[in-house]
Amino acid sequence: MMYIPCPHCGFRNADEFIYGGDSDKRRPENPEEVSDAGWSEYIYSVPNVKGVAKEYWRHKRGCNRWFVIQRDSRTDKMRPLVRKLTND
Amino acid sequence: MKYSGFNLALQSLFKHRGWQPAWRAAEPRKAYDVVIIGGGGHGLGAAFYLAKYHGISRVAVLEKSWLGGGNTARNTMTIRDNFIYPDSARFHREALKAWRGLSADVNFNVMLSERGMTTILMSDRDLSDARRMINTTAMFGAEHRIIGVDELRRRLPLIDDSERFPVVGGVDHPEVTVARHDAVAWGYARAASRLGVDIIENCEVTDIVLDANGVAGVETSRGRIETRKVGMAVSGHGTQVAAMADVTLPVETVPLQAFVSTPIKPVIDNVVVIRSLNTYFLQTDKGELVMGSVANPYPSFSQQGSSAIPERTLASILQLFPAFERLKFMRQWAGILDLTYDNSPIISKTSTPGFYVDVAGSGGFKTTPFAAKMHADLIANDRPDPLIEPFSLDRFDTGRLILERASYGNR
Repeated sequence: MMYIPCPHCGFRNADEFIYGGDSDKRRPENPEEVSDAGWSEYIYSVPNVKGVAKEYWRHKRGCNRWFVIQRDSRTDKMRPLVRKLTND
Repeated sequence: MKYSGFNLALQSLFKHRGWQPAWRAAEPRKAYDVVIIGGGGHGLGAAFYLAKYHGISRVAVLEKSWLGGGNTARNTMTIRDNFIYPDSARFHREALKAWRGLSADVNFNVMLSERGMTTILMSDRDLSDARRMINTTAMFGAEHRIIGVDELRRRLPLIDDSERFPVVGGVDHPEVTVARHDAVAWGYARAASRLGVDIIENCEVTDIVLDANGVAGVETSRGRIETRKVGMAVSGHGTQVAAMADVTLPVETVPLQAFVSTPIKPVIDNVVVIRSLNTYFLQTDKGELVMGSVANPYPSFSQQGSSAIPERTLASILQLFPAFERLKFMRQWAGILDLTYDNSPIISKTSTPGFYVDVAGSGGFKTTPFAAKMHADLIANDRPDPLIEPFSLDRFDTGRLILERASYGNR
């Protein structure tokens, strides 16, 4: 059973959370200047890090708030929180 | 030595001491015409077809651990062709047909069993989706048909839908097949080895050497090997291996789980799919029920997967089959898949000349012989067969995606 440390609710069952993707992925600053290939890479490619990565998670069946946390994709172990995010 | 009834009888006279190992344990040579990365069904198959159909036998298959120890050993062995989009319906139709005659082709019994599949439909939406699938696949010669509730109950007498969610009908898929998954790897390995292919286990590729003309060789844990062509047939680590050749693959590594019960007497002779609950199960020849569901809700390399998946899968199955309530779990496992955004495979050339990929099968066991054949053809001729053109890497640039909802990887 995997537990995720929600910054607002404490350790909760992973089933209550939604994975929101790699938080290092950035939307291009000026979309109109990005080539088709660059845009396709932004949409379809993910860093797919084998190791520790920063990720968005949302405590959907709890406080419903987003946060950024580190997770090791080799073991699924959660590392300390990076930052809280608000919903608005 | 050929596997045959005659040789079996002959060997029995000598207490079966005369059998040879199924394949040679080869030492890596300095150079090969083609190097295949990944010693699972897809990689070994590609090597076999290169040697058999394209006359290229200076081929090495490099496997980082033992042969057929990845997802070839971790799947639920179902070979089905109930796909929705014409490109992938055609592809999976060809893939299903490519299994026929495989045992004779490689002279190894892969225990192909055309036992059929039954999909349970529980809503009008299920029914209209099923009709759409039947019409699409019929264009390519597939034989699925809708069956009524009465026939469904005759086929699956254990269904109990009296509590909730009544069944509204079913789909009969008479051509769906299962095969002994390990035997596929062993059969290809043995047949390829007999044609001169070197199968090198415990040999991890650590880098792909590039020069101005593209691929120049591979660095491995057992030394450098020169080659102008590399075919990648890995699962789970496609991102990492392709990055060695300066190729970015639009894939994400996600575990897919399966669970096995203790063996019981025969209760079902079909693969059973519960459409709205995204669940399927079948009974193996040994009597175990093998159950599976959708891919993990988050990516991971851990080969474990979320515990929520077994819980939901079992709850779904027990909803309709309460008779299985007392069954005990024997084991659970997860294989890691490379999933694309559109849940369709990539069999393609890449921006690096001489580097070819066959990845992201999204439950790619069912396509093993066909994908391997197409991959071998692509490597030998450096151009894709029309059947696999839609599955090229550039579909992510052109936007011509094959958004397949019928694959296991569907999220």
